[in-house]
Amino acid sequence: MNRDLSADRTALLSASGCSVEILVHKFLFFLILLPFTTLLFPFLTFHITTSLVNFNLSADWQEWKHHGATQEQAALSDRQEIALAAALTLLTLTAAALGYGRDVRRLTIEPSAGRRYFAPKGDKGSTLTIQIKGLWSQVARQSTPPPDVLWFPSAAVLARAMTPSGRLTVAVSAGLWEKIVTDDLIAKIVLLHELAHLAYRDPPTFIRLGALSGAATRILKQMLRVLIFIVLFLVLHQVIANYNAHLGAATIVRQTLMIAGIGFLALLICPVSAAIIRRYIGLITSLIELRADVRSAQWAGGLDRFAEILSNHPLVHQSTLSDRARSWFSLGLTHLSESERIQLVRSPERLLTPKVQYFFFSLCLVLLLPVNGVTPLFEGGIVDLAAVITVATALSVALCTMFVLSGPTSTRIPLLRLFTVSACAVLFTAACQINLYTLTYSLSTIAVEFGLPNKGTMLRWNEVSSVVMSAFHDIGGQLGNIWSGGWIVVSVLITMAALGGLRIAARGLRRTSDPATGWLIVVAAAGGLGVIIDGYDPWRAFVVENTLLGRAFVGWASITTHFRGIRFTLGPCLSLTSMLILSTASRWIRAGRKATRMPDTMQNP
Amino acid sequence: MDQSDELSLWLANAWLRASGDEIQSLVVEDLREQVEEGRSMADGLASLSHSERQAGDFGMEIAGTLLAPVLVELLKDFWVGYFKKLGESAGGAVAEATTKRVKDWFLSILHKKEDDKVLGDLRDKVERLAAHKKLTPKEAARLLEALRGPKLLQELETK
Repeated sequence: MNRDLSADRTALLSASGCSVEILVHKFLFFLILLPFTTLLFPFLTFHITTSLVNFNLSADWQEWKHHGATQEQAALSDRQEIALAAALTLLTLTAAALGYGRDVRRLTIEPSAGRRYFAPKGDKGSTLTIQIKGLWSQVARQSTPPPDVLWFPSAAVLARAMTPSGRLTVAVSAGLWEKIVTDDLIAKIVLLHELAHLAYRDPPTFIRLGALSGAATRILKQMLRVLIFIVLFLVLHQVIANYNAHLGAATIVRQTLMIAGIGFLALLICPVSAAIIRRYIGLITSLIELRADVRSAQWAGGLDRFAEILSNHPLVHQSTLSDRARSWFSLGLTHLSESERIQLVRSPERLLTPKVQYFFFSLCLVLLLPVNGVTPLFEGGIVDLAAVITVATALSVALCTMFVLSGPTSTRIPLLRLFTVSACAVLFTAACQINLYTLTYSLSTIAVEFGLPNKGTMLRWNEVSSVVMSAFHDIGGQLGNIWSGGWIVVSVLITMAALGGLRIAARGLRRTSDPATGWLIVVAAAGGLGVIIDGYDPWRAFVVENTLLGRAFVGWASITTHFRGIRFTLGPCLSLTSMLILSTASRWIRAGRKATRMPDTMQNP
Repeated sequence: MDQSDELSLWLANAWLRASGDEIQSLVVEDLREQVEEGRSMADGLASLSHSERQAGDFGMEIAGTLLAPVLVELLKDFWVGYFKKLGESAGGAVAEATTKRVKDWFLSILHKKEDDKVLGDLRDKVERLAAHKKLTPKEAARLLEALRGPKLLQELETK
């Protein structure tokens, strides 16, 4: 009985772990990545475009009127340029918002294109409805009305949770309906997964995410059109200027190629931004699906049983390498591959810690942002840095919170897993310092060298290779910095120790019924962890320094003193002491509770 | 709608109801509606076995029963063969063979309750599909049982 309760608690907390992971990613996505890509980047694009058009056309006008061209004589002032760019951004956003609203309405009425849904008929239809309502009554609150039941023609075993016109609805395929009739175990699992979606009210989230992806794509397409326009404008402008200056055809071609080459790099901002948005939405969607798996596993009799039924069923597709690759790299991700989902559900230690491998590609994509060469020009590339820091922060926040959540479970986090997530956290943070703008700068230099008028000779290959090698050498140096003379190993070990300590502290939650004490432990432990890794990890210190209030935080935490040749930093010392106290306190609380313990009951965290 | 499509869907629907596969007959009914709306039969059949992942789905590829599409394809093959034979033997009669007349002809075969060659041909096709594991033994047995029993005739006459 106790074992069942423990497994139930583990499943419940695993689902909560997924919820935390989803919340963290959603929060950072909506707060940072989405506004950057759909608001700031378009504004920058429009501003650059208006500035270039204004400057060039004004200069042409002055020249035509036989005056000298100066900045002061431009048709639009700086303020007017900004106002125009802001107006264009606002217009684009309004159009995207209208499209978003339209998509939400369309997807609410017609949840999936290409599928026709019907009410089940006949005796089998009535039985199906009764069975689903029966399952719902077992898993949902009594006050929640049972879902409507629909079916759709498909031979495969499929089901879908949706809320057409706001009503909770489960749609089953004909293939699944057959399995329900024959009492196949897999049918119950599929249905419970869908009921879990309804219990968490996931369908409206899916609709909003789908519509959001569409709206963001529209904004980025508009941005791409504007960038293409400005590149073509500059090419044409330069061609006319060169023609009027009676320059040779070779110079005109070279300068055209120069502008087109640099323009091409600038255009990269659109596909990279679109990829970041789509991947992040895919990641959030797949985590929501995983949470439904975990919740349904809890209802179906436990995580192991769920995994066992799916892995032993002969009709379940065995994932291939390409299926796994899709989970790692697909931009249209909705579900992880079958085998990965089964493996994850089977391993609570992976459910209770961040799924870093699916997060890796998001980091790679944001690292590609500076390649466009436009955003690095804005305040020294602070936007690109903030985007990378956001992704690394998402991992760190998810990591700490999930370790706290895993405290009350009996699940053991193996040392290898602890090492893996710690190493990922350190590497992700260290990756914030990688700046690929060097590469763009070098390529732009080559393009400018190539397009310089009156250069006389063609670009020499040794010059090109020298510039490119210099860029790669710089990037290699950045990667080498991560190693930092072995300091990174210490960072990983400290992070491991800190996370382990955090979990021990969080274990106090298991025995305490006082929420205030629980929260105090969590906040203190998480704060302690933050200070520890800040004090020992130069990469995290870099991140903190580059965020608001960072300097003040690093300032007091880095006060250092020497005693008999040993360096003591205030932050880590305070943290280690607080961890020790918290750990002892949690043990003390646990011992105290043990004496007067009531029968263990499952609590919803 | 193509004559062989119409006859295939008509017979498949009734046959599935007679064999107790109500759910599969609903699938065929929907397929008929789609074909009537202008979708090609091949597209409709392909969509039945297509399993795409959408957010909110269970999202695992789990194979289900393919009874309805397999039976429709079997009957399509049967009617195409029948019209071909009719064309070879009767020439202009093919043009006059309206759907209604063909349906009446098939009903008359079922009425005779003799081991007609046409029914034998259908039986062979079902057994061949079972041998090729496109139908499970249980599904094949149910279909053959329905072909022998009176329920198929009742279902066809009510349609």
